[in-house]
Amino acid sequence: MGGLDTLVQSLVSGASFGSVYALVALGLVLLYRTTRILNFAHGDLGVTGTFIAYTLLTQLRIPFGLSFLLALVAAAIIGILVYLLLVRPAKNQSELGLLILTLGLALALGGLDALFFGNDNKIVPTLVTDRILRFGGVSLSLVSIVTALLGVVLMVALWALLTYTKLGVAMRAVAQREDVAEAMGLPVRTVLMATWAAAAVLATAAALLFAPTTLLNPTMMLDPLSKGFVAAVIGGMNSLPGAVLGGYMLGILELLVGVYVSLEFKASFAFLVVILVLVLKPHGLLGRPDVKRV
Amino acid sequence: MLFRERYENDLWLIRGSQAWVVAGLAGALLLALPFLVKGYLIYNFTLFFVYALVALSLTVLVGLTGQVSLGHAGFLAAGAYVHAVLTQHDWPFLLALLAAMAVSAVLGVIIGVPSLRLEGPYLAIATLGFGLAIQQILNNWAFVGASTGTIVDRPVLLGIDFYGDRAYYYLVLLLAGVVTWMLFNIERSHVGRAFRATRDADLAAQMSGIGLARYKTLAFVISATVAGLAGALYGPLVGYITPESFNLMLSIKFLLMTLVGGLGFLPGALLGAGFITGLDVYLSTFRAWSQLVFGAVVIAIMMLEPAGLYGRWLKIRRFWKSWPL
Repeated sequence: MGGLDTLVQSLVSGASFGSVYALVALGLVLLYRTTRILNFAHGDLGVTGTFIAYTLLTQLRIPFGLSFLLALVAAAIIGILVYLLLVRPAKNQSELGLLILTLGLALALGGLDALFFGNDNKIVPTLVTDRILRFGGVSLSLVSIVTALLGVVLMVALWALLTYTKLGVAMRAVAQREDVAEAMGLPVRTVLMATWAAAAVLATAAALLFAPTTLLNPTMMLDPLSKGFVAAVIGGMNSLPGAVLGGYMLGILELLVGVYVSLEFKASFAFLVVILVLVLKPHGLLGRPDVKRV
Repeated sequence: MLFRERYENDLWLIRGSQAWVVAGLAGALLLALPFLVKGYLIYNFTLFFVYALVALSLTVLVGLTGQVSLGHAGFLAAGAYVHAVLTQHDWPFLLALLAAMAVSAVLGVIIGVPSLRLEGPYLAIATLGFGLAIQQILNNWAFVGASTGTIVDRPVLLGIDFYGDRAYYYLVLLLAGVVTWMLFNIERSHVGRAFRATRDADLAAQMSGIGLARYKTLAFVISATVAGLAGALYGPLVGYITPESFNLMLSIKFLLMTLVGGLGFLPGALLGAGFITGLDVYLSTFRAWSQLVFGAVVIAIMMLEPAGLYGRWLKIRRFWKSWPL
């Protein structure tokens, strides 16, 4: 097998990991720029949604598409409940306090998942049966191609939602200045509810895409979540295109490091990249610094 | 002595006769404790001292200076591993302790200097990355035992064998006590005030002649050094360290200690360390529920009392002292 073929293969499977990272990062950034919450429960929200899909699929024998759709709806409801029951009434509304709140939520959700669905590894059926496709000397896994493509479809859908719908415009307005948006008569609470729902849906979508490449268990999303944070920070916490760029960059670079440099180094590579990027660009590649008024 | 009215009030380490009585009783209790309780409780109290050191160090960083760290287990790991490797190469215990603190301090500078330009989420993720990177480097480094970890012995100092739980308890109590006293002193000195000034209004602090770069880095270095010391004491306590002992969950627990106790109060860090360590030990008997209960407790405290346990205590005390006003 030639060097070029290895490169193409790494690029494609890197892009499929990148899709998952980018989706996680998008959910994190979407929530952060609107609510100023660094959501550590993002991964566990996704895992919970995936467990719901898995249960519908295997226990109730509901067809594939429908059970995934129902899981996304359930995730949206959970997201709204988290906002209404935990985030809104919390007395500690500082940025750090809310961060800790989501850490607590992550622990509680992970504990609930373990209690309800068990700690054992489960195999999530894939949308397509995995085959190895060969193009000349390049062999590519069908699942990783589908993962990459579905990721792109979801990102385009989110972009369309934010650009062309009233809800999207309202979300962007609240993200810019919450008080002004409220003064202009926007229903800020509803918009924030929708943001939480969208973030939870994105989390579940990412987890559903990621699950077939690994095994489903309560800690499944720990690694993609930390990589998603890294991707979001590399791209800039308030920039959605930055999240996508960061996700794909990280996914591809990480795989190239694994193939060409060393496999051991691959795991810690992401965290060295983030420190390097932040030293050079403290607000990420595409992020804008918050303007502070004195 | 309800509110601070004069500058001298700010300087007192222990305020008023009641505080002296409380401090004296607590000290006597801690000294007598190994003869009052069973063996495994002595171990748990020693663990509490170690965690309290980390919680205090994190309070200096997060509470006083306002810089978040989600990777404090990394500093703990650095201290523990440096100490373990050096004592295995026949370094004396105390020298290895100093070396562990020095290496941790250097790491503190390495993380602290870039952190000057980072704020909020960026710093949180950078420190998170630091903690995870340290863990993964140790995991792949054959020299320090990779993922199987390494054995750490308890020391023999001045002819005294600290192998027993009770003897080691006193050693940790002594070192932790001295460092705690030093941290309380830092907090009430001009350095502590500079830390709080950079936290509350960094621009105003800079205008008043406080070098932000200097104090923000200093906070990181102090915090990392103390965490390194805690790591060096942690290794011999548990006897066996693996990279997995310093995972993200531990960093999160340290952050929880500072917040549950009351962010920005050093006594709060002690309360929080006691609360979280106690909860951890208590919940370890029923594993299946522990994570859920842990999360629920954290959520409850964040939702109900932003000032933490110590903040609640201050409110209660203020209420009774000024009653019936």
